[in-house]
Amino acid sequence: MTIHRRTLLKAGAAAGALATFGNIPVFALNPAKMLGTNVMNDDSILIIIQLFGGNDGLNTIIPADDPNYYAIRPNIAVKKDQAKRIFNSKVYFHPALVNNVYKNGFLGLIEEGRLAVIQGSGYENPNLSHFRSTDIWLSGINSSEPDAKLTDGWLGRYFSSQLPNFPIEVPEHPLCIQLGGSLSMLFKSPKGDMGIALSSPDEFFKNGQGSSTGRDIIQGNTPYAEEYNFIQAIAKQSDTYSTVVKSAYDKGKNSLNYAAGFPAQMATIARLISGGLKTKVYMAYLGGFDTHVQQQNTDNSGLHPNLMASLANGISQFMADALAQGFANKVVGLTVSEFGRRPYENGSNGTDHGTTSVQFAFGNRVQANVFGNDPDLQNFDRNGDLDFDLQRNIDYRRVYAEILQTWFGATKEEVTEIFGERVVPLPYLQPPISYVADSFAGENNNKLRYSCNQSNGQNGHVHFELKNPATLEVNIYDIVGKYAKTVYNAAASPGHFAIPLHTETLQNGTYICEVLADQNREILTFSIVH
Amino acid sequence: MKRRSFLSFFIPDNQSDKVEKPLNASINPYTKPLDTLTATHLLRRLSFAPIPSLVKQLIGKSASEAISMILGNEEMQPSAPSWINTSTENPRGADIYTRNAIEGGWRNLQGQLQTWWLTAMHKESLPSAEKLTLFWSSFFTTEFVSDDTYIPPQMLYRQNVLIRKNRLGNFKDFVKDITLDPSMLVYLGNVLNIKGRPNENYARELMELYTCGIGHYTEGDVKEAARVLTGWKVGMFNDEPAKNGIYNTYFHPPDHDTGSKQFMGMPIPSRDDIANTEYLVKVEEVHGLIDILFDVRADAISRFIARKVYLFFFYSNRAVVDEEFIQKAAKVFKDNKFEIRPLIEVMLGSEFFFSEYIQGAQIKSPAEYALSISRPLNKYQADMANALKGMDQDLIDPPNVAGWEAHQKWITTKTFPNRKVYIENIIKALTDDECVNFVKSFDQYDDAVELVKNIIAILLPIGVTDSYRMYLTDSVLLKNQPAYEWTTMLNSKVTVALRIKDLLNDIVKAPDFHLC
Repeated sequence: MTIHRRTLLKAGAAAGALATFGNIPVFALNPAKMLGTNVMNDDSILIIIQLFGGNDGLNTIIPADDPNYYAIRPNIAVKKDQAKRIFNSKVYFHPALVNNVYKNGFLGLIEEGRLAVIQGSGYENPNLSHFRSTDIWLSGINSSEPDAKLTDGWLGRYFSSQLPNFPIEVPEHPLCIQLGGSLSMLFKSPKGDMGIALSSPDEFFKNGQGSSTGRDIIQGNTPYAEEYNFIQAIAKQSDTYSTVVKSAYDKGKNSLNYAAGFPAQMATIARLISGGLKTKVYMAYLGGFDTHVQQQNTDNSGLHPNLMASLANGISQFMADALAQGFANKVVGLTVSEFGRRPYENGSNGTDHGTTSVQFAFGNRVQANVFGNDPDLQNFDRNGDLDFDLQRNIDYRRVYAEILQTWFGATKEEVTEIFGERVVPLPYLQPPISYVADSFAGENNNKLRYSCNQSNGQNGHVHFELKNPATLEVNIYDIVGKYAKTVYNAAASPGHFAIPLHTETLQNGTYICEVLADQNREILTFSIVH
Repeated sequence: MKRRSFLSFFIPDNQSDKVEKPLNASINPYTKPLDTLTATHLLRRLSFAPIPSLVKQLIGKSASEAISMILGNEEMQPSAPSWINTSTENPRGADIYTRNAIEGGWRNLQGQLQTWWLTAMHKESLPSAEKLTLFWSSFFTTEFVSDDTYIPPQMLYRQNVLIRKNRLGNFKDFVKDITLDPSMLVYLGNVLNIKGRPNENYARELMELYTCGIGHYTEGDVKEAARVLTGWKVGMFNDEPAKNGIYNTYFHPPDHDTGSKQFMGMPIPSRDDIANTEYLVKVEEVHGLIDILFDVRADAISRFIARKVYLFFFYSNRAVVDEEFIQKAAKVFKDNKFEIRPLIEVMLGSEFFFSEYIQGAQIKSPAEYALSISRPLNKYQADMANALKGMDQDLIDPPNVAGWEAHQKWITTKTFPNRKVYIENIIKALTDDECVNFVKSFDQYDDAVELVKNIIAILLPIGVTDSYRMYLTDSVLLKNQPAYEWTTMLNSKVTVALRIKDLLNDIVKAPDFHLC
């Protein structure tokens, strides 16, 4: 297993000069203040694609085997013979995600094992405002207090927890980059912005280069000195980041020509990665999903299909580029949208704001599958929307927790800290290649076994074989990923284990059992019927 | 094993939470006559960027005389934009084309509203109304909303007028006015606050953000205040009842909760239908509620507001607020029955305000930043409102109800390059005549040494070192020619323009150009 370490350099009068950066001396920092190693893993880059406006999940992943779908959408449904079936599931891709898209689009990707479909993700007590719901999605906080102010993002909080001395010390490359717009809440943290927004590397360079003020720092701890030196620091960051971004952009390349529009953003990201930029998270943006009116024509063309084609093209071209350039193992992408749309089409051949929807994850390290249950098109909530049902749906934070824990190597304590409660990851990813050190015997997805020898649901056990000594922890979560309890937590030697889950204390329902051996995690779902 | 270096940028060990506390935050009046440094300091904070003619008027005056000159007495209302009485149909429920047209029209008007206000800030001399208007507009937040909940710019203009009118008056009366202000009623959902179906949003913010602050009210107070505040509507569109005219507030009796209420321990009696009228409910319940709030929470309110004034006009670093100073200022506010003028006079006339601790400590908001070049150069940039958005200050449209966080949040890797390029472009676009006029706005402009000294005094908050000043004079302005050559150079507009642009470019690059 590779150990990733980064050293922090810090300006100040403490240690002796080691190097210079530009004309600014930099100094070695006390190693005790080193950054957490997890965030530093070079082999895990994340791309978030925001689909703004509320993507219509039911016309993205088509429930073509469900007659209710055709009953509630007489004019805008996609006919079954035109939808593209995903493996042997009961759900299908909208044809715009496949036909006339680069390399067969999403169908091509999922067949190659590079795409995961997550159905029915959302949150309890859905909010139908674009802005509030976007804030809930980006903050990772679904506050039961409707007026609670959401001010920072789940990724911003994560990175700020990894950078104890931010902004006095900042990474040499920007941690997060957002293409276009003003910086998203996703990257905001209590310590300040964990990312930068730029329209294009060229423009950033044009405006940012030469931002350094060329002045000396001021000694003392007066307010004037504090603010003066703070501005110096940001000026220097602007200068440096605009230069490193531009330099990576110039050094990087694309191995194919991307389509215009959204795919061009993906081309920029690919080029920055290819040029060696160490940025951990990129955010791309595709707007126009607020499809209240005439969202598609009977031949499956139109507003919403165009958006889907653009999305599928961008992702497919990006993955082809990543494969050709050899960084496909290092990237994972995830789409987010503030909500899905109302199941019933409205009177204008469109759909109004709704609740749960679908998400896509892409990359070489995704588990190509359809996660989550098919939508229930018979039992709507009181607004006539898809009911966010704790037993059926996926709490959106589980999707994020998987990124943090499996992809970025965060500990479950860190994940708990970020969401304010324990959330079990939805297992749609494989860890970065450099992390893999298998602690469990057995085939993938078959390393844990559940047994319950009594019909009343008592005496349930989880069985597995541990290959290496490890700190072993067994936790139980409810089906939406809320932490229930820990049943085992101790150092363990290799061997067979049968750990009692104390199922007699659990109410009827479906649960997730998580077995952690150091950083290795396996998950099992089981049901209790007393 | 992989290693990667992290770099840090030029910050010494002190961090924002380690700034020293003031040693002597005296609220005693500052008695020395104002000189260039103190006069420009007062103008930067209580107005906008100083220009030579205004500085001259204040030099030699006492602080209290100067403050009176800046605050003035008269009502100051720039002439209204032409479109403020235009109206539209309700876009909600209209077809998509109509809706797009209406909402697009509003976005256009919102830009015009911002430009109207920025122009007033750019042009203002003495007395000066705009800084205080900006302060209160950032305090009683209202966002421009062009979808979902609608707040048309016509209504936001009316709120700006209301704020301007109340800026130096009685704060309690101000709160009474803003509570029934149409934009505020819509923004914080009080138009949806109906008997039996309360919306507590405004009731809560009234206390949390606008008067006493969190910790000085109970959830019960919020609930009862919400009941008191039921029944108010706004006529916004052609097809809506607008009993008091369009863009005005009116009372809708059936929506008002006429039952008795108990707020902060004080009873508000029930009323019968005959007494359920706009006038009586406004005076007895809405104003009565605010009277109770100000009676019972006078100490908390006066401290809360004194603190807001401190953060805005003194130093916005929340970590080092001098609570003793705040306490003394709060007492002045309370003793003066919440009159704003004496609070401003005492606080900004204090020894502490003029101390080195406060001078140059404030990071300019984007508006202050853009105006700090437009005013001395007498050159308003038509795209200023848009440029401010790129610096994260969308005027009359803050990011949320809490307003702009200010302080170091103004400066990011995104806003800093935008700030820099904005100023560079303005300097680049200066005509020869504009440069000459700028030079001639200073006394003794034919003396190179004095000219540079005076330009620095206008543009930078606490002056510069002698060596930097000499560098600016000798190398940048004179290009190493003898100082007496400047009078000759003044004969060539082209030369003056080139040299002045070089000089300005060097000065605005300094971190202290972002401070005031």
